Amino acid sequence: MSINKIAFRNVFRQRRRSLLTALTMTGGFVLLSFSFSIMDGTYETAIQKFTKAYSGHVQIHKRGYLDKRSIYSTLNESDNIESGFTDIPEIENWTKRVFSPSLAFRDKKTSAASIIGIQPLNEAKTTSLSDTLKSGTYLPEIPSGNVIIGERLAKILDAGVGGEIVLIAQGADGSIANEIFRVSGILKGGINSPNSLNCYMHIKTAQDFLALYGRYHETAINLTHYSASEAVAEKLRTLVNNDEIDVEPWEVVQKSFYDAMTADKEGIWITVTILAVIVGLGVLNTVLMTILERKREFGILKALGTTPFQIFRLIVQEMLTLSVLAVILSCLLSLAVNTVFTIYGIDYPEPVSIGNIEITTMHGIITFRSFWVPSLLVTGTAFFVSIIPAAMAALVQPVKAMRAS
Amino acid sequence: MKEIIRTEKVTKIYRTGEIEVAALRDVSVCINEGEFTAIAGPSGSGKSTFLNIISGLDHPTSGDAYISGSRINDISGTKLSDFRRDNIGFVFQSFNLIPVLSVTENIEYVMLLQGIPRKERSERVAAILSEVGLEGMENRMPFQLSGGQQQRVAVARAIVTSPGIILADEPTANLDSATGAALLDMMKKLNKKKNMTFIFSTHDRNIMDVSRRLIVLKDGRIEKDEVRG
Repeated sequence: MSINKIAFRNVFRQRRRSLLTALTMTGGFVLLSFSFSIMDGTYETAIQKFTKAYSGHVQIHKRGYLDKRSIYSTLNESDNIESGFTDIPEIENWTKRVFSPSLAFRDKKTSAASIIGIQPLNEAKTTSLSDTLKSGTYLPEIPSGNVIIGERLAKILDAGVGGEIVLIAQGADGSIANEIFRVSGILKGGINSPNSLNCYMHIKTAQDFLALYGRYHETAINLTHYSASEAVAEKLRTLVNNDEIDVEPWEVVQKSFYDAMTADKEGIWITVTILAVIVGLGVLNTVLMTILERKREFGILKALGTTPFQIFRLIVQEMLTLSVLAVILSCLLSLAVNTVFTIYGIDYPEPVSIGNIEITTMHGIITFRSFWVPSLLVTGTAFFVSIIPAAMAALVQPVKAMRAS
Repeated sequence: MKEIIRTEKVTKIYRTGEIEVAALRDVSVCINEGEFTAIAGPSGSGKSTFLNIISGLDHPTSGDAYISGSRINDISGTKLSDFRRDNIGFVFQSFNLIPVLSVTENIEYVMLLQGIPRKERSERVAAILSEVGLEGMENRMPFQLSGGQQQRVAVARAIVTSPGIILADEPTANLDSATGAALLDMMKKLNKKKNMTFIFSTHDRNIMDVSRRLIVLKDGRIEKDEVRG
């Protein structure tokens, strides 16, 4: 027998009250765990879609390219920095790109357009570009005069599949580059799509067009999971070992998206605070009732020689015991609820946009944090809320307490 | 005989707003080890207040109380809890067993606070259960016992640590006369066998009759202090 044992048995003295308190704790836990699961699941989906659509998980550029996208800030194919990629197990695929602003026109219609030279096969493995074709065909692996363009650009230029457009840009040698290209495909995406004004062509075609022979601007790398980005970037920095080359994870490359998402995630702490108050009030009610009802008993315990600290510990331990039991129950319930929502998800009535990525289904995810944060919330709240009432019980005067009915 | 309790001009005044009520007035008593003493008197005469003061549950407004030579006024907080735990056993009018503990666990409770090892606790509990006639009821919970049985458990809890002084506040008040007499007989035997000091506050004529010393309080003063043969 010990104080722990007495506390454990006291939890079951007022079963209905303990059950209601445990249910309050369980409700708070499950709700918070679900919130974390859905929030983390939604962002997991958004990050995966976002990085798959555009950036990949890690990018390599000439130093300073991300700050100032100059056509002259190039990497050399002869450096062959990809040679060590296969030694890094987290790397799945990679692709090289060339970028340039340009002016596109067709008949009497003109528009700004972004030329992006890609390695068609590698790009298709690294990003979802080939899956976003609305009409026409994807670029062939051999260089050609074909381009695929964004839907908005196609509309502005009134260009359909098979039509021709003219691109004008500044070549890296100072010349004015201009060429007729054939539209082989049109990409999906509305006005907000990052692809809307893009014009993709084979990287060799782009290099010839822009006089960037043997040079390119970017290597985008796809990993087994986005969470490995910083670790892989570090490995790549060591591998590349060149101060003139930047290796950055997607969090840096897509800083505005990452910052917006991080700020949005902070909103969960409002939920945590509200639930802490609800759980706290439930526990406070129970602990105050306990002290009021058992005042005489505390007086007797003190008369028998129980120290104030032992009384304090008894009360706190009772609340902690109740909270631990509630946490065990809550973990099982949350696991079941979160698993269901991880597998089946909930369809949004209308697709929502996160960083220009459309999310149609809200999926949960089972993470360690969706269990430890609610566990800490419930046990921590139970502990802190019971401190003052327990101190009050510990300081009762035995004579006065024993007169209580 | 060795002196175990002494009070010198103990006065206790309760204040409620501007009203003052003197529960004890200049009470000076000396009780020796092994005495079987009854404190009697009408309701409000100060019996319970006297027990509270000599047990350290309450402090006198003036005067001094000593237990085994220690001035109890000077002890407070955890030290006072430890002092009570080690020196005084309580038997209350309404038994006051810990409801979530079995008979054995209730008796063990004070020993647990004293940090006595489990084996020794078990041995002492087994011996005391036999002395108070509760063999076979070790695992019963308080609600499964009659009033007399509960009071026997309370006596066992009070004496199991051999505290030297047993303070019993109206121990037979909630018992029928036969059960009360049996309990009293048991305590009398324990007094003789273990030379423990028993001090009762009581209205019970039977307790007064068997006590070796009878102190009668009235209006907070000692009206009579009589030692019988």
